[in-house]
Amino acid sequence: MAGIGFELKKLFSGKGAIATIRAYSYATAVCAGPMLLGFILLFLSMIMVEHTDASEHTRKLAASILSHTLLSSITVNSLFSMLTTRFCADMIYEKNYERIMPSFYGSIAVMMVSGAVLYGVFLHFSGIRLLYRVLAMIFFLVLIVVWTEINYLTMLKDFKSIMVAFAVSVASALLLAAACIWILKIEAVAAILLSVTAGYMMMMVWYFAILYKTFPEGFGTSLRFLEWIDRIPQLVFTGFFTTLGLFGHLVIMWWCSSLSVRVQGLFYGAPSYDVPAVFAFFSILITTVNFIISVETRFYPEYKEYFSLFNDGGSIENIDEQEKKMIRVLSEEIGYLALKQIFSTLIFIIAGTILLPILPLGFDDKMLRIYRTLCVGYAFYAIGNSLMLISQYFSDMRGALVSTGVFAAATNLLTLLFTFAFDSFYGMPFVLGSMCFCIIAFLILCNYLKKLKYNVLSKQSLFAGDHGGFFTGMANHFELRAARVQRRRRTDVEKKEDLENEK
Amino acid sequence: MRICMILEGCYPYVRGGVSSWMHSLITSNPQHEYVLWVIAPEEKDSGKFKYELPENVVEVCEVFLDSALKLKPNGSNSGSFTAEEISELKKLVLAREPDWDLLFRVCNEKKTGAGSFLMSEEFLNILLDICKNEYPHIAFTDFFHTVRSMLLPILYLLSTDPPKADIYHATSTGYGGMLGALGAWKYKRPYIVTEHGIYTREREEEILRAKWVVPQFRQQWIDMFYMLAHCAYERADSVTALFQRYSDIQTELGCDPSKQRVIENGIHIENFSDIPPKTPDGYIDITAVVRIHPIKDLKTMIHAFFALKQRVPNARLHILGDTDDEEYRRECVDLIKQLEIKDIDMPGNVNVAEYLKGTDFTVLSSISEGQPLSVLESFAAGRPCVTTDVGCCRNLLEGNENDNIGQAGIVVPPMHAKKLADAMEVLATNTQLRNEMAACGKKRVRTYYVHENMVARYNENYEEVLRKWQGSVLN
Repeated sequence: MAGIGFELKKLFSGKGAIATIRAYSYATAVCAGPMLLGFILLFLSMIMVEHTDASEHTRKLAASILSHTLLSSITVNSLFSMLTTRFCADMIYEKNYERIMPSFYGSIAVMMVSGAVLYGVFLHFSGIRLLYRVLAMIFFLVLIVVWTEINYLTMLKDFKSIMVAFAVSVASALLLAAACIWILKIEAVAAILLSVTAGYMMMMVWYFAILYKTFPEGFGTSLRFLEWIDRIPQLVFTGFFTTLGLFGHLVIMWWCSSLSVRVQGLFYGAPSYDVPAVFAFFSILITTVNFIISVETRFYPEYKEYFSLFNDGGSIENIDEQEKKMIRVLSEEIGYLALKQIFSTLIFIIAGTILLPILPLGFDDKMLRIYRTLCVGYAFYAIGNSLMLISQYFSDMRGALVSTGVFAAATNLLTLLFTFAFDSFYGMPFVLGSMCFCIIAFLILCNYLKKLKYNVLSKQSLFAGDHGGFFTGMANHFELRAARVQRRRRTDVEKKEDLENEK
Repeated sequence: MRICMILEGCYPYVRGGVSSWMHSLITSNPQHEYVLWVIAPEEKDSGKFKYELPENVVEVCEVFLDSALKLKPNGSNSGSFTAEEISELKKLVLAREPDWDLLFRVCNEKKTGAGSFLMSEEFLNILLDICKNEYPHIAFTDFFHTVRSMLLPILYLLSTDPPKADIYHATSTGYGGMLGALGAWKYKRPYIVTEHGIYTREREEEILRAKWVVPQFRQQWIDMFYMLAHCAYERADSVTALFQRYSDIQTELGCDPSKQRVIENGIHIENFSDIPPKTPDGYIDITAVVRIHPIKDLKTMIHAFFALKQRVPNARLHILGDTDDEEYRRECVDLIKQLEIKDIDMPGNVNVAEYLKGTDFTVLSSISEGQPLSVLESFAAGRPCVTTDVGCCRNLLEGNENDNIGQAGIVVPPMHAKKLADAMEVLATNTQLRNEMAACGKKRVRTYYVHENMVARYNENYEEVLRKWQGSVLN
C-alpha cells in the first residue's frame, strides 16, 4: 500500500478541474475497484433488461445469477488479494521482479481450482439450466482473473489503463447485450450472461496484455507467494473477514429474511434489500478516494520520515518530535476523513430520499428506510476500514485481523439474530456491526500508537528467525523443481539460438 | 569436597595456559570431586573436549552463549516488575553497581527470561528514561540494540540453574565471575576467584580494537565488564592472582586487599629435569610453545626470525602448539612464504619435552600473558628464554625483589621485532651466556614454581575459606 501515495501526488499535480476529477476516479479504482466495477455493470445491464419484454422472473434470475457470481468471486479473491499484494510489494522492494508474474499465475490457479470446485458444487445443485450453469461458471472464472489483474495493476499504479479498459469493456458489453437481445433475439438471461462475460473477458485480455508487457518473464515456482502465509498469516483472514463483513448480511437476507425471494432453485434474492444496499454502497466512494489522496499523500511522508529516524540514527529527541508530528497529521487526516464521510453520507441520504423514488426501480418507503440505514452503516465501515488500513501501515497485522474479525462476526451474527428475532429493523445489524468495527479499529490504533516505540522496537524478536512452516516447505519443494525445469528450458532455447546463428 | 570450577572459554575446549593449569590441578586432587560449569560461545562445540576429563570430574554443565540468541519471550513474567526491581535493572543497564542479590532473585528465582525482559515495555521505558536524561543526542536505535546485546548474555546466564557444590571457584571475572557469584548465592556457599590475567583489562583492549562495537558505545561495553568484575570481587571470599602486580591491579579495580592473595603457578619439574643439554649439531634451534592465536603475536616473532636469519643463518625456529585461530595460522603461513624464510616449522600439538631436547633456547612474543607455563617448563629443562615484557615474564626471567638467583633470559618490549631479533642473536651467538642463564632458570623454577607447592596452596586456600565460612554460618 505504501507507495501509492507518491504516484498519486504526481498525478494530482496536473492543475485544473479535469485533472482533479481524473485523479479521483483513478484512485477510486484502487481500493473499492472490484466491487464498484462489478455493481456498475450489473446495474447497467439490469436497466437494459427493464426495457425488454422479458418476464419479471427472467429479470430476477439474471440479476440473481450475476450477483451471486460477483459476490462469490470477490470472496474467493479476498482470500489472496492482500497476500499477493504484500508478496509483490516485498519482491519489488527486493528488486526481484521476475518473481511477480509467477505469483500472478500461481494465485490465479489456486483460486480458480478451489473456487471452481466450491462454486461448481453450488451451481450443480442450484437448479438452473445447464446453459446458465456453464455461463455462470465461465463468468466466475473470468472475474477471478480480472480482480487479480486489477490488484496487480494497482501496484503498477496504472490507474489510467484500468479505467480506459473498464470503460471500453463496459460499453462493448452493453452494445453486445443490446445486439443479442434486440437483433439476435436471444433470450434475456443467456444474452445478459453472455455479453457481460464477453465484456469482462475483453477486460481480462486487455489487463493481461499490460501486465505481460510490464513485468519481466517469470522465474521460480508460481507458488512462492504461499510462503507469505507462514510469514503473515493474518493477511489471508483480514481480507476474507472484510469481505465477509461487507457482504455476509446480503446473503443472510437472501436466505433467511422475510424479504427473501426464491428466484429459482438455490438462487435467492432480496431485491428490496439488495437494491438499496448497492446504492448506499456508493456513499463510501468519497472516503475511499480521500484515504488515498490526502491521507496517503499528507500522512505518508511523515510516516516515512519517522521510520527513517529509527534506521538512520535519529536521536530520541528527533524521534519523539517526529512521532508527535506524524500522529498530529494522522489525527487531522482521520478527522477530515470522518467529516467528509459524514457530509457525503448526509448528501446521499437527502439526495437518495428525493431521487430514488423517482427512478423506475420500485423504491417504496421500506426500501428507502433500508437505504438510509445502510448509508449510515457504510459510513462507519468506510471510517473503520481506513483506520484498519492505517494499523496495517504500522504493521499491526494482529490489530487489523482483530478489528476485521469483529466486523465480520458482528455484522453477520447480528443480522442473523435480528432476522430471527424481529424480522424488521433491516440494515440496523449492519449499522451496529460496522459501528463495532469502527470503534474497535479506532481503539486498536490508538492503543498501538500510544506505545508506538514499544511496538516498533521492543516487539521485534531478538534475532531474525526463519519463517519455517508448511507453506514454506511446499514452496521450497516446488521452487527446486521449477528452477530445474526452467534452467533446462533456458539452456535449450540458448542452444537453439546458437544453432540458428551458426546456420 | 565438591568443588565447582567456573570456566569461561578455556578448559576443556581449548588447550593453553589456563587449561593445562586446570587439568593438572584437578588431576593432582583426586580427593576432591569437581563439577565443571563451563561457558562456551557456541552450541556446536558441545562435548568437543580437547582433554580427557580426569575421573574426579563428576559433572560437566555446559552453557552456550549462542543459546541466548534462540530465546523467545516466555510472556508469563513480562510486566511484573516492582519499582525496586526496575530501579536495579536500570542500574544494570547503566553498569552502575546494581544490587546483585535482587537481580539474582529476579532472574533466577522468578525465572524472568532474558527474552521477556528485553522485549518488555519496562525495558524500553528504562532506556527512554536514560536516553532522555543522559544521552539526548545519540542514535536511539543503536543505543537500544547495543544495550540489548550487552544484556542478553548476562540475563541469559543469570537464568541458568547452577550445579550444586561445596565451594565455587571461578577462573576469571566477567561472565564466569558472575556465574560463580550466582552459584554461591543460590546454595549459600563460599566463593573463590582466581585470575590468571586481568580479564577486565583484556576485554577492554578487545573492545577498543573490535570493529563490531559502535564507537560511541565502546565505553558502555567496557563499563559493563568493569561492573561484572566488581560483582565477582565483591562477592568472593577469596581472590587470588598469579603474581603481585596483577594482585595490585585487582585492588585498583576495587577488590578488598584483605581477601587477596598470590598463588604462583607450578609445574611438574620431574617431567623436564632429565632433559640433557643439547648436543651441538651445527644449528641453533629456537622453540616457541604457544597456541596459534593473535594474542601470541607470532607475526612479530616471524619478522624477528627473518631478521635473525640474516645474521645467524644456521638458526631454526619451531612453533609448537594447537591452532586456536585457523585464519591467523593461515596468515602466519602466508607471511613465512612471502618472506621466503627457510627453517620454520609448525608441527602442531606435540610432546614438548621431546622437542626441548633439541632446543637451544625458547622464545615468547605474546602481547599479553599471565604467568606462562611454557617459560617455567623451559627453565625446568635448562633452556633460557627470550620473552616480551608482559604479565610477569620479567619477574620470571629476572627474579622478584628478594631473589638473587640471577638472569634466566632476556626481556624485550612487545611488538618490537628488531629488539626481539637482537635478543635472539645474543643468545644464539653466546653459548657461555646461554648456559649461565639456563642454570639460573633451573634454580628459580625449583625454588618458587613447584607444582606440589601450588596444589598445596590452593588446598590451603579452600580450607581457610571454608573455615571462615563455617565460622560465619555458626555465628
